[in-house]
Amino acid sequence: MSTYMYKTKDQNPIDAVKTVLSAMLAKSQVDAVFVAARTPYAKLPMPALITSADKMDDVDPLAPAAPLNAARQASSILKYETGKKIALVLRPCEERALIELVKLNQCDIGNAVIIGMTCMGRMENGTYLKCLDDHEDLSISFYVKPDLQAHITTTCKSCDKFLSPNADITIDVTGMKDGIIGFLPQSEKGETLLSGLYLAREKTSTYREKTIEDMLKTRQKEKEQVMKAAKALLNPLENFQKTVATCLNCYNCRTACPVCYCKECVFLTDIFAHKPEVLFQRAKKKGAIKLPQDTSMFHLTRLSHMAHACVGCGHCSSVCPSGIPVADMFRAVAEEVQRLYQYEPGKDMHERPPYIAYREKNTFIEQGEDR
Amino acid sequence: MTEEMTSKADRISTPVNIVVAGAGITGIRTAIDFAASGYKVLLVDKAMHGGGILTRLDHQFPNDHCGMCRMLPMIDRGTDKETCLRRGLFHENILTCYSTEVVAVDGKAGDLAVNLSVVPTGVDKTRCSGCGECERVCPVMVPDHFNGDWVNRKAIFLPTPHLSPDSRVIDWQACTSCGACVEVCPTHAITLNGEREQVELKGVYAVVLARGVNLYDPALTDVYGYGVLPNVVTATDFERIMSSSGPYQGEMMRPSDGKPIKKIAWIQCVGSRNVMIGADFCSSVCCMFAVKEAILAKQKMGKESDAVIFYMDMRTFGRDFQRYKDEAENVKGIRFVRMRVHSIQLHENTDDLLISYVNKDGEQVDEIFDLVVLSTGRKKDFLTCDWAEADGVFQVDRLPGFKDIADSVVGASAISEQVLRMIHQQNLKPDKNESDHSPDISFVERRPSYITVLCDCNTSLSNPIDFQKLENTIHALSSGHQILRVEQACSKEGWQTIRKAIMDGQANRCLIMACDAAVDFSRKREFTNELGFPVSFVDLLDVVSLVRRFQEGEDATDTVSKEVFMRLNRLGTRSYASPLKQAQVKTVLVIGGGPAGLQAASVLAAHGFTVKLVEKTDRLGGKLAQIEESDLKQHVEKMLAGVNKNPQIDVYLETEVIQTSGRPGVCMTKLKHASGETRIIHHGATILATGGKEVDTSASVVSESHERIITGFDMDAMLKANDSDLVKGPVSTVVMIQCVGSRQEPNNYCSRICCLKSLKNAIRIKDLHPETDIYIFYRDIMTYGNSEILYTEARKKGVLFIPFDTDNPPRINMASGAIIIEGDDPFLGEPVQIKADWLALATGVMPNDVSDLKQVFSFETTQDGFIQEADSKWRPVDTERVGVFVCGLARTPARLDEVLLEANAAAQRVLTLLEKDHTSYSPVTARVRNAICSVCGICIEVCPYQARYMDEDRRVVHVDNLACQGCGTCAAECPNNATVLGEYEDHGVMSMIESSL
Amino acid sequence: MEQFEPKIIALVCNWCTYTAADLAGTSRLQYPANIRMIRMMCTGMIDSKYILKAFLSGADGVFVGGCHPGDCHYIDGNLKAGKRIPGVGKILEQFGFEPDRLKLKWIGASEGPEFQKYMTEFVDTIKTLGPSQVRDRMIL
Repeated sequence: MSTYMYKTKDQNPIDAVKTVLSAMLAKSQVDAVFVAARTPYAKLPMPALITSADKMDDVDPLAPAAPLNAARQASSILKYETGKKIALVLRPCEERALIELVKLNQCDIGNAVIIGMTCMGRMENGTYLKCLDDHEDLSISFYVKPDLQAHITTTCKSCDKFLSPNADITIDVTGMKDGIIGFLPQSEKGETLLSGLYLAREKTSTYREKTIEDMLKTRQKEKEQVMKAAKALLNPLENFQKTVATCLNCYNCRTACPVCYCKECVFLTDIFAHKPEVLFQRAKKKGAIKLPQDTSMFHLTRLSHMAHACVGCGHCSSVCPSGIPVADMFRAVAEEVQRLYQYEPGKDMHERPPYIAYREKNTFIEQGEDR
Repeated sequence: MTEEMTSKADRISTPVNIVVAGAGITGIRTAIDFAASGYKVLLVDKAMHGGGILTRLDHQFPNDHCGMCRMLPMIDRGTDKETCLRRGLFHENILTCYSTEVVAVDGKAGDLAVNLSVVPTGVDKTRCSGCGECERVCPVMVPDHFNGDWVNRKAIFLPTPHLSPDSRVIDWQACTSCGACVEVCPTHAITLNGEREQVELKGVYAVVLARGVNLYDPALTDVYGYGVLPNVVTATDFERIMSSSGPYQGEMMRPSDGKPIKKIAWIQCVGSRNVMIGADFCSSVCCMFAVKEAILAKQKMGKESDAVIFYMDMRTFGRDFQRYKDEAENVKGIRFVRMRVHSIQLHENTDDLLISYVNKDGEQVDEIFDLVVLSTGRKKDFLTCDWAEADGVFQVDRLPGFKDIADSVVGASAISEQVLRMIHQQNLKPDKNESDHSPDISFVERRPSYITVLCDCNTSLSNPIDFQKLENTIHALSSGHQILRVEQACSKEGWQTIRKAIMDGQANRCLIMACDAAVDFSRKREFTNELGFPVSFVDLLDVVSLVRRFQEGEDATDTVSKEVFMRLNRLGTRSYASPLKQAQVKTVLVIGGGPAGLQAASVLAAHGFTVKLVEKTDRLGGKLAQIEESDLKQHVEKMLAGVNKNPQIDVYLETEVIQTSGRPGVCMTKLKHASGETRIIHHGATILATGGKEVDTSASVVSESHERIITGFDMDAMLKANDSDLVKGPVSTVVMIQCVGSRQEPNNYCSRICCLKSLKNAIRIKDLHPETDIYIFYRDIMTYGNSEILYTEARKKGVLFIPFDTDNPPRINMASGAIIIEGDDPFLGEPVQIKADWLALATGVMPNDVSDLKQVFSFETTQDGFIQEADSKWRPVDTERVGVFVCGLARTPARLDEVLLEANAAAQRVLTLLEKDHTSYSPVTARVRNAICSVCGICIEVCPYQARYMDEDRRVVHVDNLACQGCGTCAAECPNNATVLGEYEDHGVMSMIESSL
Repeated sequence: MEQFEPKIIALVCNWCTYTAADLAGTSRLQYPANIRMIRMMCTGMIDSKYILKAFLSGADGVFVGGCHPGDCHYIDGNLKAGKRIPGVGKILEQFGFEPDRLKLKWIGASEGPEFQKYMTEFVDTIKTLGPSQVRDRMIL
């Protein structure tokens, strides 16, 4: 890891980011930039694909909001090698998801430049818009005022993976209190890019390390509590039934999930399109059934498909119309599954998902014994 | 066609194309080969069961696993009932018939009259429900030979534990004809008439004689007290002691007193390699067999146990055998003692056994064992029969010996190829293939309409079923379920009733609940063939085996109802897809122009295939010059001439394969000539015959070269040249050192040919110069099979053999200019020093480099660079990639005759794949629903058969229907069921699960 | 009080374990009637959904039986199951299903006695654990 970072001078941090991204485009270091930006019609930042250096005005990657996890959108651009070089500005959870999608052959990031960030979290859309009413410069003030930071989502509050270890460049926001933003090169690629942009090179402040350390402590403590509470939402099954009692089977959670990569969810296929006879049989067995069916089956099946790959971004909770804390529950289960498989999603592009790497870390082979 | 012929000649109503005599591993393999090509096969065996010796073993070397089922057809597997081979062989083209002998064969190949002598089983399989009452009431008890005579069985019994359907047979020698079984049989299936009957078959194309070997009976020699000392057993008996299906249910206890077995000795070469009893041969498999048994036994006995093998030479001559033995010795703690044990004694007043011997250090050792296993091999005399030499009879081996599974399978397929060659050359055709029946469309594309057939003949059920309650369950499913109660579904009348009900009721989903007799594999076939019913729309429920696990008298209604409920629900989820067919390109790519490649090419051309023979160098023939056997050399020379003239064989010299695509049956491959020119050929299959070469590893023992230190190969060449110094003489002393650079890391495998070469060289020198002293330093002399006579001859002629260990190899001293070999003679217990005129180093062979081809065809190689077969025992000439086969030195070190046999076997595998114009697939084959597929490729990674591939251009995943074997892993891993396995669609399985609760 | 009769589903592979089950039957080795056996071609084809479905539909236990490693007809389907199924078990555990309710065992073709033993043991285990939390409850 580099011990220095690049900084722009006398600029407002947001402008600094814009300047850097524009410069990359202007110097043809990259062909396009994928970054959150306000659309002309809404203040919520949505992922945008920008190819022109003068279209940077609405770019807003530091806004404490993300209506969706951008990994899926990023993968649609990176579906296969196109020869185009793209710089992607991603939150750590988006970066991890993207790496999982690479493993699943959904995209190729060989030619991409990943710009990550030290993520302070995001707010739910409604909260963000409300805060925006009071703070026009929310994308800056958020990093300065702890009371604004208190508005981030539960998931973000308890997220201990707020760094972007696999990024080529990290946008360092820990110095925003002093109005400074830094660009930390984390790979050769990142170094080359930044060194060509005439930025000031400075030693990384010890302040950054201290901030991160403190943040980690708080977050971990919070996480412990959230996970503990989440477990009580699942176990015993009766609790889980209460938790999902209001689930509508809308499958928003799976649509929002960045690692649920299926073109169409199995719950929308013929496999779960029950014949009337089946519904009658089910009703007959218990005397009464709730419709739509398969709510628990859906959540458990989805877990069995993605628990090992869950990056804990929390978007499933954000989109739930019934306010079910999906993310808390899923993270709690995912943690156990990931521990079992000794698998950390998004950590290493070359680490193969457990079901493919079935010969590795397989206790059934190692011990020659069964469960 | 699985009905067993019992007593009446008219049972064989279908014509038989090929009779296979002998249903051991070899017979089964050939039968499958013929059946897969569409020929009707009658597989007979004198014994009461098929499977030969393998039915007594649970695991086989060299991996201590089973996997016998991997022999079953890979292609066209839909015509085969997929089940463990221990339960029986079920293929629509194979009729099995035991207690049956071929007694006469007359006529010409292609049109034979075959006379069979059949001992009836006494039980009519078409009526037997497998209830086992007969066995229960039978008053006769005789020793159960299958289980080493340690337990008794009845006169009416199951000949092997797994047999399915589990119809008993009568042992007429033991039967007293008391009639108890006849009386008790609820289905009147038993007739007490054990008279042999003669059956004559006409118009048979060929008879295959796969006679196997007689096992040696150690009671005859009585040196080791077999038959007297109860704890001295043979190796095959010991298998039963270890087996869960054996007399002690797998508990390691010894026969005499049930004491737990903790210490076992194996004594090798009992009845083999014993000139005193005229057994001048090696039984080839017993060494490995003993190592395997020792490993498995040690595992079962746990810690504090001991397994010792007393041997003369450990013949680990297979490719992976040496490492297996090393692991047994170094990791698993098996002890190996080089010693011919002279006797076994009872220890004091116990049943323990005492073996005394002198160890390496010359000390007398007394060891006490719980059990001694005699590694018995084959009998001296071969099984003979009068008609073996008749026209149209193909013998698997003229001089049969014991062979390991891989060699047996290779030999079997090689003979299948020869039979089919005769058939093809006479232009004979298989009978119409029944699997070509396609269903009547009136059954398909309609909403399900169910009929459940309940056989009323519940007399054979040990447990009561309330049929009224059962009917209510079915009706509750939904209205409109038809129920048909028939008396004896197995009878002709019963069958007619079922047919009529289906037709009248226009049902298109049918569940038949009856006993074994009515609901077996052949019934399902009848549905398909006669009624035109889609096979996946019918389900047969064997109610007898379902309730068998209950206590007698316990009510089974609930369980049966549930099962019926489950099955009906599942039937409802079934849908029909027209069978897929694929046209094939009848051209074969053979890579390598050495003996293996030439043989494969010539053979395939003789079957009418076009062959593209690709050779890297500028000439064909490979190591032709080094072939020593004159007959084989002539054979290869003849082939070489034939190949060059044959218009069906295109030879591409100085050419390499650089790219391939497609699937079995239809491939495209790009060839590149040394000039840089490329061309694309279309073919249906590929044979890799890339061969090997001798490896000069002399540097591992001598630091500098010396004109009189040569390799065994060089010595052989010199002995062939009349003017060489060796031939002219005089020669005073010749020394040979075996295993130079082989059988130890990094080349830790036996090259198979070096011992033979050294022995032949030694004999030749002795013939030329009887006065010459010859010393052979060796580790284990690998004269397996009948080549043992060379070893005996060499010793007779005065060649001296001095064994050495890898930790104390002979040292070569050239300091004085002379060649001095220093070693230790363990027999004399003192060092020896020999001044040699000539020193021959027995260097081995290694495979040619195939790393480029490996990239092209994506097969695996062993750590020594040999091409890895799909399964070292059961599919030795297949690679993991379906449609790509391998033979010869590319796969394993082998003698030339073995190499040629492998080439024939590989050609046979190609025939199975390409013989038919079209190949159809099993309905249990995976398919991809591309519209919802996310192209993640997990299915490609987990597919064990490389049956899936990605079309990068269209971004879709394809399934190769021939390569897919229906394991369903892809479907289980696919998160959204974009890939599904036919007949195992998730909603079907899940509805079964749900309705079972 | 009525004695608890557990509902158990056994998903067994067609090649080894099913043969062992059959052998147990032929050898008249009795094992509890509570077990509903469903034949799979290979344990490798056992989708996580099957196990989840079984438990959510009220199974008190699920037993998976396959070939010993190395014996699999499909080379290594059993190893794939060996990796996949513990993950499903881990998920179920989070929802309060005791880990012992899901069992994976390798049973060879000749291991009729072992089949009987494992079945009997498994039923005993489930009897000790008592009914599954799903029983009689409407599952959403």
